[in-house]
Amino acid sequence: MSLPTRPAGRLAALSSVAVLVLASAGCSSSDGGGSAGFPSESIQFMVPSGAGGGWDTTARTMAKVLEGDELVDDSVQVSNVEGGGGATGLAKLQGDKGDPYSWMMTGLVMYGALEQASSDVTLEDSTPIATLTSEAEAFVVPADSDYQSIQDVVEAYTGDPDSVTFGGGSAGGSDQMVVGELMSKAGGDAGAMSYVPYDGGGEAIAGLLNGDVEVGVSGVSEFEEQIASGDLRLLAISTAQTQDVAGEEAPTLQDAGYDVDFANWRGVVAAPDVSDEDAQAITDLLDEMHDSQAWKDALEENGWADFYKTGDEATSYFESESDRVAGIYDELGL
Amino acid sequence: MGDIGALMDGFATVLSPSALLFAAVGVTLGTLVGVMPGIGPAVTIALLLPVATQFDDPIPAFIMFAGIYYGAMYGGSTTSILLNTPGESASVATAIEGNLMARRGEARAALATSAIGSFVAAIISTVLLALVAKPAADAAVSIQATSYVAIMILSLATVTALVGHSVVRGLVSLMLGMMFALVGLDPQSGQTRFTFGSSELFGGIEDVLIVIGLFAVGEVLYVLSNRPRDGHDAVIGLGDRPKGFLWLTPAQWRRSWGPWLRGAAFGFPFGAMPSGGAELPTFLSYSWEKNRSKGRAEFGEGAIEGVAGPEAANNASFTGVLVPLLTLGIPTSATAAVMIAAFKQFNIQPGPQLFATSGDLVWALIASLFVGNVLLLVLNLPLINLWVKVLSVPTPVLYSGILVFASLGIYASSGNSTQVTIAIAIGVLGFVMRKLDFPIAPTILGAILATEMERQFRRAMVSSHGDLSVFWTRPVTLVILLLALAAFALPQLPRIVALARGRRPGKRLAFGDED
Amino acid sequence: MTHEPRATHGVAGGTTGDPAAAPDLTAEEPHRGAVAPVVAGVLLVVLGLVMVREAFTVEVGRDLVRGPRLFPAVITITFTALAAVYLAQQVGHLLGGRVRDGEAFGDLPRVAGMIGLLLAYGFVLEPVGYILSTFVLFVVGSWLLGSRAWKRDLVVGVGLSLGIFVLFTQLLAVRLPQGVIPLG
Repeated sequence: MSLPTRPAGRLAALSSVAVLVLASAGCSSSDGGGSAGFPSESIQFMVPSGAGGGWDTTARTMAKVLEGDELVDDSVQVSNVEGGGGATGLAKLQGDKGDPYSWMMTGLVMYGALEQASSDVTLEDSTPIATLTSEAEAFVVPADSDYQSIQDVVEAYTGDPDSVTFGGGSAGGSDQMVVGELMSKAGGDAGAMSYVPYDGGGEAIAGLLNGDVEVGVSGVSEFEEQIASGDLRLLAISTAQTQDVAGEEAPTLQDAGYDVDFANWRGVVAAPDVSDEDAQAITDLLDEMHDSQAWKDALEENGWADFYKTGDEATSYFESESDRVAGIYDELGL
Repeated sequence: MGDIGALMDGFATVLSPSALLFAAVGVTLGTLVGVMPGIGPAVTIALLLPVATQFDDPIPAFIMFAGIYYGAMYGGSTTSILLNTPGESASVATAIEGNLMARRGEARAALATSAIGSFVAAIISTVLLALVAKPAADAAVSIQATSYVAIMILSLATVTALVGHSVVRGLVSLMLGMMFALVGLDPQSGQTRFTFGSSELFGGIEDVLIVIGLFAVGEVLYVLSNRPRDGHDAVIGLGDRPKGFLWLTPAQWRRSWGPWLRGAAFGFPFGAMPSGGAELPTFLSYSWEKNRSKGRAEFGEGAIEGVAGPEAANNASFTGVLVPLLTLGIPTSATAAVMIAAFKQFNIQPGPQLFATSGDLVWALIASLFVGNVLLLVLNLPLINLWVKVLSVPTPVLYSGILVFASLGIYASSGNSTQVTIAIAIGVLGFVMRKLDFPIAPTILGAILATEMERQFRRAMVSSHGDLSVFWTRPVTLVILLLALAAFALPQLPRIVALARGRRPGKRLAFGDED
Repeated sequence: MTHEPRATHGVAGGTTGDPAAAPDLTAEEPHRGAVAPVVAGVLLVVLGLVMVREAFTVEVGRDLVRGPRLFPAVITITFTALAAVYLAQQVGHLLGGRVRDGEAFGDLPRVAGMIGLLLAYGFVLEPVGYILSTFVLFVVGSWLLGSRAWKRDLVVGVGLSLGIFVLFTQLLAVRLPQGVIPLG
């Protein structure tokens, strides 16, 4: 949802699904084999943030599916490395150059976080493997708000940026990014935005209900319960593809005439300099996971949208998202 | 809501032999893990949640969860009292007087007032939860950022008791904590502050590092510095078994019940506020008891009021957290976030719909909180004698063990050994502060207050587009600010009056002697 | 405020009645104890000034009340002012011969040893692994704390480090560095 360091999450993550089997000792050398023998040892899957957040849950769910469906003989060991908005984890990954058994979770917000942390390493210092899931961002207002549609909000903002206050997750996270992209596409000055960052959806809802902020922005699932109860009104979701929210088909930003297709996605990279063969072997393994019923059930359970891209498609997507974030950060003046 | 009949049905659900067994297992596990220094209740729950969620049926899971929680919280208080090593900021206030009591040989009474006080507070606040959840949640959510700022200022004005006998040293400690709070990424502008180019400091210094560093590591260094080389094993006296009911003498009962009730009154509303937390009410309770209670003369030597109040406040605030969680689906603490995760495992979505869609479960949960508390009391009071034996572990083994567990707690939750190093550096600071007689608790308080005050102040300013007048045009905010002003001014009043009459002022109530 | 009673705590036990076993605590060096608060005061003021300077490198943002500089500036300036008051007080005490903070720092070499041990632990934890580094931390830590019961410490150290490792990795699913001791 937003920046990866969220204390609450870290604790929750410790609590996530257990990976009980200890790895056998030593895991540095790659046996360089193709897909036939892969994986022949346990996979070290690092989450570059504290536990309990979206990345952590995704990684642990993957581990569960990979192990449960016996797609791997050994185990998948999930570990959390917190710090530097992901920079600490990414730096650690540099120590495993060429090792196809060293994976890392990543996602859209990591590009921004690395920039904010002035990290020496970037996601280019890793081997892109796949994108997995995505979540649409939702724009909501309190039930008694004057804003009836997303156009009302955009018009008010382009008229006078000070007339609207937005609230969502951490500054520079996906929630603020999508507002920035919407406003600059609509011809407004994204840098003039009044944006209040909250510690998560819960606090943001309180801010909406007590009038501290006028428009809430966060992952759809954060607001769904309040939309269903009628406390909040959904104005639009950020993806081009619509979906059901609280039992009704949600309007999209594109429906409203804005050329925005934005999703907060999560994906997997491997250690830098992994050979093409090894990368293909990992992809094949993930293909199997993606096709499994267990993974489909997990997507359903967690409310994640399937967002599977691999190979060149994933590589070019990572690159275009990197440019996109850089562009939005420019507009936001971050 | 407010339906006693439904609550009785809830009890019917949870009062089976197997449910009681789950609660007992939960309490025991929670206490055992929570008692390790450096591992507070929130971490304990997170660690043990997989155990609690192996059930297919949510009700035993909830019961076990409640047991683990109360057990963990009690375990954390145990180490605060016996060893002066709180595992999280909400136990800091307990450690102050609690550890002094233990050193005076009254460890049993401190543990007992902590356990019974937690029980009393939990029962009171669980009744409140059952009766007034919805209106309380609505009121709590309506608090705006400006009012939070005012509440923080009011808290600052009323916790002067923590400052200790030297105002200057106390305030230096407080401001030091505030500076800690500023380190790292500014969540609003995305700028990094006071990181001096280190990406490790990007995420800031978490409160738990400050607590473990200043208390656990600092304490070990302090003890070490005063121990003779080749020393034999020192043993703190356990004191006599007190004559009285449940380890408390009649006088201690009389001195405890007031703080229990007042502590619950502080804890519950703060817990219910979306940005309230458990720390401030414990400090407020401590301050109140120190300044206002009958037993205040004993503060600084181990006053039982200083243990009873904060412990009750801590426990009541947890139940308060359930108010917005259950009625509005708003998780406001680490524990609440863990609970949401647990709810979701059973496909239960906390929020406005919860009472309508799964009312029976909610009442069963509330009933399990009662049961968890009762079992905690039943199981742990007899164990007090066992816990105080921890003090008879040879000092080198005990304090070496504290170091092992303190670093384990940090490493297990961050996976980053640099965090351990940061805590050690803070520990060195804690050692020096002890040696120079700087109080430690204000540093924690400063870190908590500064984070929250800045966050809320800037929220208010972004929301008002930079217009400061929102602080006096909103009636609720204005009233709280005036209260804060009164809280600052009143203790000085006798002095001001005396000065005005041209006499030398007597000792001030809150500050004590200057040096 | 909470610490006065501790002055006697550490020596309360085994060495009672043997003042020689509790060396350099008091009488021998009142001077060091007397100067320490002044030194600390100077360090606090220096720290404050560094922090003030750092605070003013933070960009103001749109305006002062909304931006990230206001709180750092106010807090660091207040801190520095208080540190200066503290320093002045301590200098006053020293010059006036009224030394209040006379508690000596105690056995500083051993404190330094413990700090070194802890820092080393932080560094080797990941490369060497949890079990071995924790074992060394415990045994050497106990020795520094005055234990001479080698056998007991070795046994407890092995039990503690192994026990925690197994409990956390196997039952609680927390990953601890495995390092040089292959298990499993």
